[in-house]
Amino acid sequence: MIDVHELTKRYGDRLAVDDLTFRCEPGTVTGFLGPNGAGKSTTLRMLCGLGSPTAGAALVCGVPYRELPHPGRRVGVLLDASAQHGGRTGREVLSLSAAVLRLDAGRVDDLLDEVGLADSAGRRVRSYSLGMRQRLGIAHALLGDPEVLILDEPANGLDPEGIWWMRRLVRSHADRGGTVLLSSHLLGEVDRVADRLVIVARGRIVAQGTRNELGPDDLEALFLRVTA
Amino acid sequence: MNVFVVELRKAVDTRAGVALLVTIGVLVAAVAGLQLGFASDRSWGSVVANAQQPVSVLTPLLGLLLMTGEFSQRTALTTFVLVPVRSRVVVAKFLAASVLSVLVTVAGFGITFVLLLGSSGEFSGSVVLQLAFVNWLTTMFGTSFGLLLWRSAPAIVVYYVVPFVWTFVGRIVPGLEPVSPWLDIGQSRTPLAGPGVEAVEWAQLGTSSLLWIALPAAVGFLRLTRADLS
Repeated sequence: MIDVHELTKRYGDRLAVDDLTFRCEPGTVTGFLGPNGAGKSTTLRMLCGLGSPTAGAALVCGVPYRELPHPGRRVGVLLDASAQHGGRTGREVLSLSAAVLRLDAGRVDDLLDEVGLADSAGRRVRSYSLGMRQRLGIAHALLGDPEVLILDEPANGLDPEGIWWMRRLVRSHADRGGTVLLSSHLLGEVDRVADRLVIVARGRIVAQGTRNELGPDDLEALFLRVTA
Repeated sequence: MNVFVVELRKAVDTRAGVALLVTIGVLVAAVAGLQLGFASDRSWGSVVANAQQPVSVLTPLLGLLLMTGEFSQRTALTTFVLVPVRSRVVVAKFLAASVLSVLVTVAGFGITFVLLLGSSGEFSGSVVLQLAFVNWLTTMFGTSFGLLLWRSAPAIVVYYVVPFVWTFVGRIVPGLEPVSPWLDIGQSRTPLAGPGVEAVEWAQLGTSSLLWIALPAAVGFLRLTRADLS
């Protein structure tokens, strides 16, 4: 479960995140939408303990992320697929984190298989396409078999087959009782997979609710209207 | 413990890490071999001390890159998500750099001693320990500059250039000469290359280490624990 309560982040004079309140329940996918610079990534970073809120709270599994005893076993995070050391192989990237999480080596091979990188696992990440990095990032998020997934633009760079695969993965995670918070610019994809939507603009929530609660407009028209 | 093992592995699982280790080994052998083959001074103490120079110059880079890699390669995003208590990662990195320094030093001595086989000379255990200690100190020096500056290129430049400039300033500015050995780690570590280090020289090593290792490490640590990472 994710519980964001009156979350605020101020950089100097600028309010990057302004009084956000929303919840993500187990068994649901929440689509987190907004134009570039709306504060989505800042919010996700605070949820993962990388940034400190100026005010309010960002709770994961009931506590601030930094207070989770084994965060990698509870929460799977993909914030930026390109943030990997280019000089390491794909397998090494996963193996390092598996060692931190005290998982056995078989888990790494299983995930490389699952995300379709088994044949490229020995190549250095520098040579990966964005889509492959994205798959590696997904494998990384799934490593500790977490109940909560926090994914920032996971479909970026994926081909149509990859996007379909990602959608199924996210859906089945929620259907097994997991919680998913997913930011994306691919409105059509989010519309097909998300149970609830949270739309932000200029740091504030401009719309949230289930698809039905948000009215009959198609998502693109709705998005353009509320974020204008 | 597992975070420490992972940090140790991170220092050597990239091409840059392996290249650095191989370079150190080759340079140690080259320095010792050249001195034994061509120099007039082939005394045991001189060869052993000179052969450790590449270790003490390059091993700090392993520690420095272990810190800056998190930011220049942006792996901080995953490292500190998996281990949100940032001090744990920092301590693990300093420990990993320390262990690496010892391992590389031991390997360096190993290479040197093999090349010295058959030549005569007085083995000095205290000099060996002092050289190992200097290697460790310089590695801590490099690692703390990595923690202070975060970016690889500026950290490397500052690490190599600033102490050099400082030594130069200490020599040419009148009045600085008496205090310079207390503040200049480049000068204060030199006596440890030979036997008979005096108490005042240990004290000078202590004060200059506080300035060049403890201070940047403390400032860098505060910066990291307070920063928003992205």
